[in-house]
Amino acid sequence: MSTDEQQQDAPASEVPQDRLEAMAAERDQFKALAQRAQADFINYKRRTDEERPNIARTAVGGLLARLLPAVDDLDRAVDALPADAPASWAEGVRLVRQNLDALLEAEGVKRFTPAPGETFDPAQHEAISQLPSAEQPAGTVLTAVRSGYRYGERVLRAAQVVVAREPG
Amino acid sequence: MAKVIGIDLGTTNSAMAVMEAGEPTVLENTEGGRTTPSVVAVNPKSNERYVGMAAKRQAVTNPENTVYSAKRLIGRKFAEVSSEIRSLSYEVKAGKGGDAAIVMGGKEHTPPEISAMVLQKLKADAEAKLGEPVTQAVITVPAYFNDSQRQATKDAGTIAGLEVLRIINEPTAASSPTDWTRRMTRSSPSTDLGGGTFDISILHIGDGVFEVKSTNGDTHLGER
Repeated sequence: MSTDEQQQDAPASEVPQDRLEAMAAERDQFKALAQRAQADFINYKRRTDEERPNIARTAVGGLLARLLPAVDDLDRAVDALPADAPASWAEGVRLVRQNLDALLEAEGVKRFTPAPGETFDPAQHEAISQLPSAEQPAGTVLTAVRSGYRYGERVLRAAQVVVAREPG
Repeated sequence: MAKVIGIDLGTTNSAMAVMEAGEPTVLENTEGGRTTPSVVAVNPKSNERYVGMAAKRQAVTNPENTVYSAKRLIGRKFAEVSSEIRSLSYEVKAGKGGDAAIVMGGKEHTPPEISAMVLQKLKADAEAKLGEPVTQAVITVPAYFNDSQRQATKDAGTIAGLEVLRIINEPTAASSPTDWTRRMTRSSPSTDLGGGTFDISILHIGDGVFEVKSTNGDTHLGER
């Protein structure tokens, strides 16, 4: 019998006890690590599966949110069209705005403009100031300064409003 | 094994993360943001409570019941914060034991109670995202926080239903995930330009041990 074979066949009792314990501890350590890694992976997979449909939405939502200031600018341009502007040119600018609205709507983005008297709701409205008002009850929207946008359930951008307070 | 969340409880904004496969991942809140404003408010008429972005959006309509920058008051005596109070829109008075107390919605709250409301939202949002209960957390604090401020931050976590496993210095937390810190011994600066403060710390890192050698900055540089 060669030396190698002798070592392989050596009964466990011949392995020093402390070495056995160290090996067992190391085994437990790696086992725990493997279990944790597996649990991490299962959770990660579940979450990415759940999030997958949202990832596209989040990416599109991010792009749309950045696009909205340009839409606001176009709104202002339409509002400020000079009276002596050539009719066909003015109509063209309005059509660009309409097309953009149609595109946003097709993507599931909905514009909302709170009406005066609507209850102020910080979940979708952002108060930029507060003014005394006899027409609207306190705590309601006095005027909308900038429209808000919803993308599915999510508020892409809150509508900026002036909130009414008690007069005097 | 349940996840431990890491929380950056900031003066202006807060954020949370979990370790995934050995790497930190920031969790988005339910509104889809990676940070949550550290703002709490109570509507004095309906008694409704707002936390985060909603609280921030209604601030101008309700300044006296909108609490922000509670971190500037946490763990501090009323007598220590007179200069801070001048720039705040809500009432701060001397509470139990001379500690700073915040008046919101006609009720007195301790700064840890206010911070706990922010932490509760983070906890709930993390649970929604992870799909499992979260009960343990690690919270970061500025390196210059004293024992009282650290303890008060820990109390905030406890009030929010979190077992705070550790309070970590912000510059240490910011430096620790980088790979070179595991291998090298060196001194390194760590800067943090936040929403409310600007901090700089000099860390000495060796064998994975972080020592904050010195810290300085501007406690009022930023948004507020």
